[in-house]
Amino acid sequence: MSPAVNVCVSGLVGVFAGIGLLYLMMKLLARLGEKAPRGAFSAD
Amino acid sequence: MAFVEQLGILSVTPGMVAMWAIALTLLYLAIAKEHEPLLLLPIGFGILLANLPLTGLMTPEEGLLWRFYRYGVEWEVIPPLVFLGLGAHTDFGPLLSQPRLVFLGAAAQGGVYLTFFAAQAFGFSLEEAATIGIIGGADGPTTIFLAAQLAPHLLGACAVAAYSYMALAPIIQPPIMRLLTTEQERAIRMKKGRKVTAREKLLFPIAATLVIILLVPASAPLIGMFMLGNLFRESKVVERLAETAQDALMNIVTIFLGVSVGATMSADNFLRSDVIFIFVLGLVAFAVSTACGLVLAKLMNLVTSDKINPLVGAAGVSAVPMAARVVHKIGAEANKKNYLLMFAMGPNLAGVIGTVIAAGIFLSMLGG
Amino acid sequence: MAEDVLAPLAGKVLSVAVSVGDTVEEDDEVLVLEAMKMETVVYAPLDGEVTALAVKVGDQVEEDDTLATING
Repeated sequence: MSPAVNVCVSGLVGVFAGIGLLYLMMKLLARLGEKAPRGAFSAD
Repeated sequence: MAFVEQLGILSVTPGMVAMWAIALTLLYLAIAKEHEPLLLLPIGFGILLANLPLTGLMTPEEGLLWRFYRYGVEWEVIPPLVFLGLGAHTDFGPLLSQPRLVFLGAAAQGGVYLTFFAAQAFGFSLEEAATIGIIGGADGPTTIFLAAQLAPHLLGACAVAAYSYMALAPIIQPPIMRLLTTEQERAIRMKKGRKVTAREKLLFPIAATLVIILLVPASAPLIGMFMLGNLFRESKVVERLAETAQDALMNIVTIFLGVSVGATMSADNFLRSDVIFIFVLGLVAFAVSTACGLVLAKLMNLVTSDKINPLVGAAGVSAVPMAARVVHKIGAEANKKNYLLMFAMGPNLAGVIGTVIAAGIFLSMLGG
Repeated sequence: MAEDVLAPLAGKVLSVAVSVGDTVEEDDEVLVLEAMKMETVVYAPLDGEVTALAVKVGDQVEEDDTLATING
């Protein structure tokens, strides 16, 4: 794999991984933030 | 006749005169047209100063502007301080109330990578290509941060390109948005998100810092300051610090940032065929990023019943809040009771975070 | 049937186009909000008479605050 492809792939994977983790974290915060936690992560 | 030899006017080169024209154009845009005056005015004047002969302003170890640049930009002080101010200014509420829209901010980094790839294919080094690609994120401080580390000789051009495209979002984005969406899609009125509690907003900067820096440590200077600023704001106990960070400190660093960026644009650095390429590639990056956000929003609509107005995907580029305003305006054209501003702020903020992560990854793979 | 006109987003009231007692038609301009340096027009949700106006120029409103009431 050429270095450029390597950087591109790592970068895209990294960005989506970072944003994905942020998403999960926000779902968790939403649960903590609610005064009366309700149900699982489904309440979007 | 030592005095005559010291006369500046005898050492003027045609390149300098050309740079004066560029400086005056930026000053004109800033003052007469009020395009981004807070940045373009100091940048324009910095260019003018840097292209006057025999001043020694950019002489290493001695020049005044060199010192601003060295200790402000090269030492990575100013861009993170700008982020501190932005953090203190930012309400993450719109993002927290619609978590799924965060992915649009990731998709909109697509242009960054496509352009990176194109730039290195055109013969730029990987470091230069990364710096050009990051223009697609349309985030000034992040572009400067990365350029200072990877390709300082391109810093001026890339910074001006990033700020220009940010300011030109209302011209560049709408045609792409109209091309990739149907009238019906643009008219979609989104369901309101739930109310976000103060506790969530308080916990967000702390949790986001942990998550992002643990994943991409090289993004720490920008994300760390961004979230610290936001914690100033959301903690409600240090209002003085929050105010200083977003007003006084921000204004101070903006002065030094603008002048330093302008000062890097000497005729030797700027009047090269590369620079035209940078502007073209930067524009492509910005356009592709806009398109990627729109396309992901459309894809998400295939699997969700709670429809997303695909326009908000275009706000995944991090030009805050210009891109969100553009989305709001185009949405209201399709349906005048469509108020997309707050929905668009979510991807817009996610785009800032996405661009910083992208810059962090470039830095960890290509820096050092 | 009376219906409240709610603020679609948080912002500052820039101008008010109606007064109490006015008759409005659906989609008529009620007022203009300014949020993030952008003007956002709020339109009447139905035909009717303006029976109450809860805000005046310069007021800061939050999302979903009642701006006016229209009796249709």
